[in-house]
Amino acid sequence: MDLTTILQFTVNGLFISAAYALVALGLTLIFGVLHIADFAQGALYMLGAYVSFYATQALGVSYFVSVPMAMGLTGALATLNGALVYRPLQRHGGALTFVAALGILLILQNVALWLFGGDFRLIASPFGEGRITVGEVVLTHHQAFVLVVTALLLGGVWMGLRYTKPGKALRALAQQPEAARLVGIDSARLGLAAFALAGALAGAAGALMSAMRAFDPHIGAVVILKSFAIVIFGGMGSVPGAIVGALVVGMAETLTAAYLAAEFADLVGFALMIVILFARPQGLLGRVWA
Amino acid sequence: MMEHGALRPVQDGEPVPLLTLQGVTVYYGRVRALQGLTLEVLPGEVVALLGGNGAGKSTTLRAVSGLVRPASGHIRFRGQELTRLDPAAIVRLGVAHCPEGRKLFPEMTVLENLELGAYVRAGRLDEDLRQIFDLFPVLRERRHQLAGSLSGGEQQMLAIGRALMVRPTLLLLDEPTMGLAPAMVVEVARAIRVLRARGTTVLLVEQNVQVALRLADRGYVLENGRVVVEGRAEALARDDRVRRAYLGG
Amino acid sequence: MGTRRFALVWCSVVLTAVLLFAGGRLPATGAPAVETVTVGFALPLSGAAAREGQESLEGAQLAVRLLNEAGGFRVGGRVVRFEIVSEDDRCAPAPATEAANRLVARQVQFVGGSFCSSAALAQQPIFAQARIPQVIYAYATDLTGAARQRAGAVLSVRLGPQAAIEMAPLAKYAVTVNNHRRFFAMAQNTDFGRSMVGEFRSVLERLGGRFVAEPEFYTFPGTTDFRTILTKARGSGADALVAIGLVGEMIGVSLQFRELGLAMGLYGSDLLEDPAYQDAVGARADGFLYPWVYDDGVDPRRFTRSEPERMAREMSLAFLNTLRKRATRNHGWGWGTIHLLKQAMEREGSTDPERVMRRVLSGARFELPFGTYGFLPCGQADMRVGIGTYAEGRRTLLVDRDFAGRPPAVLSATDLCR
Repeated sequence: MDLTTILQFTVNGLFISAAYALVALGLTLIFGVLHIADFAQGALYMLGAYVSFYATQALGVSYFVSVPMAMGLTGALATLNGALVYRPLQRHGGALTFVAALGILLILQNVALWLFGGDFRLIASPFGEGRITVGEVVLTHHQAFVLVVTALLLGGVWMGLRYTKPGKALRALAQQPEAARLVGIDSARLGLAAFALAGALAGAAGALMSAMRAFDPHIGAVVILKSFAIVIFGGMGSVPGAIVGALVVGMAETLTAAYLAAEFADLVGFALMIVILFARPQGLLGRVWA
Repeated sequence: MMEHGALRPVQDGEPVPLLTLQGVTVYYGRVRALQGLTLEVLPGEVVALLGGNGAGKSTTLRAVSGLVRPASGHIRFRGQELTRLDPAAIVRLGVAHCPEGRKLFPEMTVLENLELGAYVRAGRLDEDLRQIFDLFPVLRERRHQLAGSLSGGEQQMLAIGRALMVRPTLLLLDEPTMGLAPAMVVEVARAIRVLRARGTTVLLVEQNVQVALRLADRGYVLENGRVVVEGRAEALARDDRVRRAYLGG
Repeated sequence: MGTRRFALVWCSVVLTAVLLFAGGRLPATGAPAVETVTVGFALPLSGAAAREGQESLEGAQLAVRLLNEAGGFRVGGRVVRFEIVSEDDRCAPAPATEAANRLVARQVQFVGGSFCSSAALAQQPIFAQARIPQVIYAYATDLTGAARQRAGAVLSVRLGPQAAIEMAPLAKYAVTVNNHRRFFAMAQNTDFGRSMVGEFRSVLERLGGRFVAEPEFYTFPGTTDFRTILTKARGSGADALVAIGLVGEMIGVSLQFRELGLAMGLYGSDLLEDPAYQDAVGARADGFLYPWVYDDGVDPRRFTRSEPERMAREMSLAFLNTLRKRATRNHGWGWGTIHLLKQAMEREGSTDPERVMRRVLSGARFELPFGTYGFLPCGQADMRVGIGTYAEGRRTLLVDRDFAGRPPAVLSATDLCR
């Protein structure tokens, strides 16, 4: 295959990775801080797409405003899930929160089906059909915008965790919950902050990825499964692990579809997850401290 | 030297206790870890809690810092009831807990660990950091290193340093010498003496009874979640029962 | 004591059964004889094909509502009314099996569905064993072939096209009209996707064309990004792409096809004629070709129809007048099931399931939303589809339903019962 084709595959893979990275980052935050596998984030991805759709379509809001709107709403919803469902259940152990997460995913899907119908929606990109073409390599303006926003969001979260006081507190809570309580970190409140952040990221991903692709109330279910595999691959609770994992899986999927066959592409993420579980159970960038 | 009984009435001229535990009972599930434990710590004292595994020493500290909630009894710090407060509120009152096993934030630097120690406090930390680095110079050298990569002794210093960032009136120290090399034990003991000289009150849980009694003013011996013997450190060191049980002679 | 209680329980069971039986079967004395026929629908009401399933059900519901509002219809000396029950099969074999068992337990007399091939294949043996006639919508060839024989599902029929009916004329049009011979194929990795691609390939090769690479089968449900497959197609040297998926996938494929600037033809499944596809893709679909199944007569055409599709028109008007929306092919499944059963009952003068289905399979023609046609002994509807395209965002019909049979003929009735 020629160079332009290879470059085009790289662009495609990078774009797929962006969605995975946003969702996986939220998942890993929640998992790291609260040890909850929040599959309901898949529904928030879907709702992010619907908020953006209705904001632009029905309210006439600019797409650029609709994305933060989606983030706000899904962030709030995730916080509610955390406060009303997960927190009361958490005392009874992990299995219960897992079942609850799947329950919320299904309920939100069906509520969306009932509210919005099963029809396919399409968010109109403000960039229309605009594209950057280098030789035969095509990157649409919308894709470029998504990549830039994703980079900013990931970078922002990264900096926030690294340098701000709440960010450090979140990391502390993930690494050593008891000591975090002892230095006076309010684990309940910060746990909700993790939910809000993760929800907002999932909502952003939904709103960003669903322009120029058809979506319906079931859009988030597959994204969440793969993102969860990515979190395990990268290391549960590891932020760089989620981002690197998203890149690895997104690229591996693309290359599998490109050079092997599309029918194997979706297995790659899970295969990588299984391989890593044997070779390095803590995940690619997960750490185990003695 | 006296057998344990109800709290003494505070007499005129006698110092008011900084911390009192009165009839504190704690359950872990169905297991009763503390059974009506009563003790007091006076301002400026170093008080040691002695006893075998499962005697309830760590649980006592955890009850004071709010990690476990007593089923009954009172814990008063400067007269204020602690049993209904959460750990964040208790640490704000100036009670710092340096937990057993050090419990550092392993993927954060030494400096970040210390900064988090002052989580509930606003304001500049330079002076606190300088004091801690003076106390443990090795931490200054390693301030940008990840806590998880430190040696056991260094980790213990960091754990104490993190607790000191609270500027505690009362420091709860749980097994600070556990698993340390003898040279490090000396180092940690020296630090406790410095703290004591600065007027920090310390409630110390220590497996090494010789070290504990050398550092402490007074001690309580716990068995099955209640105090069985209490007294001045020198007296405890001579007490037959203590010697037989803990000093191997 | 034990035996007495046992006897009591049995008495009540028998009594209840008698009452239920009597209530269901015996007309009340004095009133005109009214019989209610229960039709169960096993459809994807949630999940990836929920929209298609919901619309199928909606078509049936509206047909029944209008029939019942008109007082039912006469069969022999009695008045028959339909009643509908439905179960969600989620477009997958395991829930489809459960849905089928529930419908059997609810004692439905006829079944419509499933929409999905994998679900329908799972249900076929269950309904066959319960001797409940099944009116199937899914396209997998096997449903009127080997699978039907294995299951002994002699009472099952397929209401509309199967893979060959749709793909043979499409491949023929590609080669004989557009001179597209070298194809790149992509499809959802399901019985539906694989059947469609297989039938397309077989006719393509018979006419001298070929696939330039092995077909790409992507995961269903969940795939939304087709750019990598399309990039592969772009570099494959093919004249055209054949892409098989449901509406959401076809929207994604079409938009990303345009985005990547593929300079080749696109041939899709009949889902391209869906209004949701049209709304989303609009003029970007210009020049794409698809098997044209449902025609309510409102689209521009490049041929003169010999025979108006009366039932499609009737359904279309019913939807506009009562629900104020445009009917789709999917509505036609449910609507068609009800009207097929009604016409067969009227002609047979009976509602007995076996007699009704014998009438359906007699070769007699029925007026249905996808034309007027009969059924072959293997259960397959002996119907044909035309070819449609988009021009300036409007569905435009290129050739009529007789296209596949014109020389060189690529499809005969014998091809449909393989």
